[in-house]
Amino acid sequence: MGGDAVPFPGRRALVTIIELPFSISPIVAGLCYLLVYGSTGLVGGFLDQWNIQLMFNLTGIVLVSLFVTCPFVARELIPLMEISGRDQEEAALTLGANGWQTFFYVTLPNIRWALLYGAILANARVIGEFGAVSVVSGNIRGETMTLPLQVQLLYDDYNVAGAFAAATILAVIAVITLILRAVIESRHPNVH
Amino acid sequence: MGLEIENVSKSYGSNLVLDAVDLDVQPGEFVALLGPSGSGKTTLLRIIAGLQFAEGGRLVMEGEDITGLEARLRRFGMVFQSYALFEHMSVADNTAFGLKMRPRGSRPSRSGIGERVKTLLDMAEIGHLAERYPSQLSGGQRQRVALARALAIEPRLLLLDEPFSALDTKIRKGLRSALRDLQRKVGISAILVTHDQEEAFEIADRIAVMSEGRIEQFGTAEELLRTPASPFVAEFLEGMANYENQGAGI
Repeated sequence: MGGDAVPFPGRRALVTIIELPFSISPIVAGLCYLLVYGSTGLVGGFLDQWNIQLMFNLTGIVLVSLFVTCPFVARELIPLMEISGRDQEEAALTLGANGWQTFFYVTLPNIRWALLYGAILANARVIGEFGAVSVVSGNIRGETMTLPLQVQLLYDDYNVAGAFAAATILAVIAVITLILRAVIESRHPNVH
Repeated sequence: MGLEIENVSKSYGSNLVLDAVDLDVQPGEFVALLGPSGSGKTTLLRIIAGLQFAEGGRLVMEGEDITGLEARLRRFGMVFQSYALFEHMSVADNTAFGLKMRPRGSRPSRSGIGERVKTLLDMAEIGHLAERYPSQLSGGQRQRVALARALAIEPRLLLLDEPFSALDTKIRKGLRSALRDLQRKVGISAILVTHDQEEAFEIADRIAVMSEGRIEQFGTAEELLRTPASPFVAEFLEGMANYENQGAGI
């Protein structure tokens, strides 16, 4: 009995929400963010009164990227934590550790490779992300551009050479990510 | 004094796993909770440890009501069935964990912790393994580390959840007497959960036979064999009596 993940009400719903980005188009996600956090949106309208703007800047890009990539990290961590159970956490508690100590000294070290692996996958995904980012970035030249957006911009400007150069950089980053992933997989085969 | 358990009940949904359990453990005494799987013995141990909480009843330790006290504040050392060693820490770091987690005021100095760890590992006869990691140890060695780690916090009570079930029968016997000796040397009360009668009879001063969330009988091995309180106890111990008789015959 000690080995199960803690079942709590709404666990299924939470897991579904975490994995939602897998099943909806990133553009839809971007539009949803615009709807909620844009200056006419529910949260955005409220924040606008305090002169806080979340969309069409770096914050917006980061927020929407988090949404798109968090399932990659969750998919790595949840199964690992379910398998390893909570014996070690319980042992830490009986030895006098509080919640934070247990997390930092026991839980985190045990999931560190899976966390890194998830981060690398998320990174690969987020570097190439186009749809969601293009909606919330506002395409402000020199300010809210990401590499994929830049590729499109250059291509639309008939700067084919520039577009391919930027695309090559993206491809190189992707290859580096794959190599990193392979290295971690070979050193820690039990990570995923 | 010691630990007193009064009227403790616990249910999972509509399933009553502990039904008004009473138990007392005297200072320095070794008590075994013996019963088939599903009898509620592990749940009782986890409630004593503070990892689960009873719906009714009281737990009193040395006169202090600990019914709602968090596990980390109880200072009960626990050895888990899986040993639950911290895989990313060396044997020495595993053992030092409880001392290192103490608030600054009551934490021993670095050298003090080091000395205490060394003493404990020597006492558990694993001093030479201090720098190893759990994955490099045998089952018996892992169990000794778990025991040393639990004793490091100077616990008021030692809780053992089936500590021999992961070991093969050959080394069990040696470890049983080692555990018993260590417990006597430290002078600490201990509660052992087991489904193995032979183990309970060999180690414990008194044995609580459990079935379906109740304690059927609580007494010394001799009392249980001579005057079983219920047909369940008699039947459950029958195999044991045969074993004893065989032993006497040889």
